[in-house]
Amino acid sequence: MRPTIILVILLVLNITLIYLDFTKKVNTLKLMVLYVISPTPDIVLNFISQTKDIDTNIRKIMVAVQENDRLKGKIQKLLFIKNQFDQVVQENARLARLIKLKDQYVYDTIPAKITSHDSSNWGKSIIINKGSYEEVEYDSPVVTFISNRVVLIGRTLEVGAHQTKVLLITDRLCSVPAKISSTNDQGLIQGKDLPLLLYDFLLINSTVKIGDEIVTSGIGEVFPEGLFIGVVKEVRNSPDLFFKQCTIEPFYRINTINEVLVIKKTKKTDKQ
Amino acid sequence: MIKNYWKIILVMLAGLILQVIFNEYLPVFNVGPQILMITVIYFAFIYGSTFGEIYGFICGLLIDTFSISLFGINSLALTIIGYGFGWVSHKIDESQGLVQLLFTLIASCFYILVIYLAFLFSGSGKEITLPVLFVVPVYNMFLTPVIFIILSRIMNKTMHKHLH
Repeated sequence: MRPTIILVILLVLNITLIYLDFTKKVNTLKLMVLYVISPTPDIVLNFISQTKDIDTNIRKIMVAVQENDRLKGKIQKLLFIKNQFDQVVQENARLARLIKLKDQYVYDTIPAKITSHDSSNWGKSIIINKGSYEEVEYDSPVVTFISNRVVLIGRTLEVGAHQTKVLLITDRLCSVPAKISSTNDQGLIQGKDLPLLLYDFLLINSTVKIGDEIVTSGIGEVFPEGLFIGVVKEVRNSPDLFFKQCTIEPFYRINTINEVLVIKKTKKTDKQ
Repeated sequence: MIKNYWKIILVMLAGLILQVIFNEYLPVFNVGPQILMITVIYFAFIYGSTFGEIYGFICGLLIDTFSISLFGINSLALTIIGYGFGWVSHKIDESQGLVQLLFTLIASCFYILVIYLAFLFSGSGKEITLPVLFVVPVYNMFLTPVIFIILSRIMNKTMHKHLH
């Protein structure tokens, strides 16, 4: 069929629709069509209405993101402050314990804080924040309290005005006269530049056994008697078979200690 | 031969829905674009007069169903547009963007004129205001390239193939 003929037919149809004024009469048809297709526009329009406030929402999101960043920064700061606070609380508790124990101890002591470890050789020496101004003396024993025990960790080596280098008992240069706590068998503790110590010159007939505790013997002028050193981990004979040797595990772990006490050479009672 | 009738029906319904949405939510000076009219132009260009006028007639009836204007007036306008642009499509290079815009402008003005005449004679429908007169053609022209590209993708038809 030619397009023109179809056009004529359609135009006639259109004019008839207009002329007969179907506007009101087709209401039923309109309602029917609307009923059939209404879910689709409804869904779309609902979606549109939901996204109508999208610009407001985006603005809110941007504000929220900025606020989030700001609050994150604040949280970081607060966490840092809390961390510092926790450390101060812990330090306070440690110092309080130290002071309490210090009062019970017969020797005069100077509490000090470890400021640094020897950077050249971790574990061989430490630096404390007290020196000659605080009456720290050369060759004074340095101890700490672990489980209510006075544990020897070393002796003062270089005393400055406000800081002192402490030679740890694990250092090769450090020797400590010691005895087995239970049997009084005496020998000499020597540092090996290792986390473990050597307990040498025990008599061959010594009854030393694994698990025995080693304390200072009090021989010599440096270390008073009874300072805990460590426990026996291994027992063997010396190469020349005249002595027994033991491997000792120290009571302390240097990286867990923050405060120490420097023992003055005079006892409290001597002062009084 | 026209294939993919279902695609054409879907385009028609989607066009109707979009037209409703644009009129409701994206009006410029309180008027929206005539998306179905643009699809009539596209199909008339692609498939010629016969298809253009039938498609325009059906689209017009759909708009009539949703509008408050005189029933049949949109159908009349779109039937003529479909026929006219289908007839013209054999004589011009409708693939040119500028030509498409020009014909959209002509179609929009013709559409407005028909609606205005219907208002004059029957008193039903809505009065043609200045925004309608100026904004609707511009809005239609603005959307024409986009709609033509989308329809070309959907129908896999490009206009230059039909240039005689």
